[in-house]
Amino acid sequence: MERDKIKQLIDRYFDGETTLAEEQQIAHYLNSHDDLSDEWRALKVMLCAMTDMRFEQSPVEPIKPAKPRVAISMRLWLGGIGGAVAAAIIVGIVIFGKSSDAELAPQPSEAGIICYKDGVRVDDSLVARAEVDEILGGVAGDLQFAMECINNVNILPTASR
Amino acid sequence: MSTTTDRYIELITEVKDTVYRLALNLLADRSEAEDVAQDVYERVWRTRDEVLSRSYPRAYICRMTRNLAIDRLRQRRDTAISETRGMSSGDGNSIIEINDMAALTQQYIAELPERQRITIYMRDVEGYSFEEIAETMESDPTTVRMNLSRARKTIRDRVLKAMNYGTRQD
Repeated sequence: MERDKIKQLIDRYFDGETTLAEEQQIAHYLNSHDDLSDEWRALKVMLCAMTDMRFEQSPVEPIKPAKPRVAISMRLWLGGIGGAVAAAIIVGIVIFGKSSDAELAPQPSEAGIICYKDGVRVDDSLVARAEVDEILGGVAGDLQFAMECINNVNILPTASR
Repeated sequence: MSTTTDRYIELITEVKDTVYRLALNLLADRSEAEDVAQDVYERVWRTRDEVLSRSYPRAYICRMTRNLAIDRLRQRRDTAISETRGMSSGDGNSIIEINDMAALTQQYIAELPERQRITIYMRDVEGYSFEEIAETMESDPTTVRMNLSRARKTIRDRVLKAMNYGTRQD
């Protein structure tokens, strides 16, 4: 019964009508039986030869994106952005924290902002504001620049020759 | 990393050995097969968006491989093929020198007409669908089946003949 079915499959195989699953069935049958006709032994040889051909591997490596390089670049940029944002938050806390204190407990002098520049207290509101603007402007600029760089990161191929 | 890049890596990893084997099957020269494989990899990388948008991307890469290999065959006008193979078809004296029937069968496949050779190779070695082979051959599945049938029968008849010849020699 099984032999008849395999015979039909083999006939269809030589007509180019079998599916991959049916071709596997044929190969399995031929590999597990020794009492084969010449024609079936020839097919067994053919299938063995074609199986052997599958083991040849390419000695040439295809181009692949340089993952580590991209990952390091991304980490650097993200670290830079994080640092800039942290600096902005610290400056903001100092500035607006002092400002809130001033609202809660009004000082005799004009309410305004102060900042610390290079460790030295700056009481002049205008100077302090200018300092804040400069820092925040720099952070914003860095952030924009960083985002542009990220968007333009080129994933470069590592050519193997 | 973008999705395109992920898909590219997945695809090229899947087909890289097939590209080399197909080129080797057509050119019968390892060095030239390596050159073709390198060319294909570079082209796939450069045109990855287009390749990935295809219905059968790996079949498209096989077509690329086939075309590049055929270009090389044309350049050397097939003169090197018989030198590399070291055996002419139908030579009974050469046949009996080859004891390994599998190697002999591979030799027969290499001697098939180009379209039959690629078809039987892609189906029986690489396990591609008829639609994918049709894409590679710029043909249709019916023609692919016809070429496959002819190729299989030719190989079978030649293997049978070699087996009988070997028996008679014993």
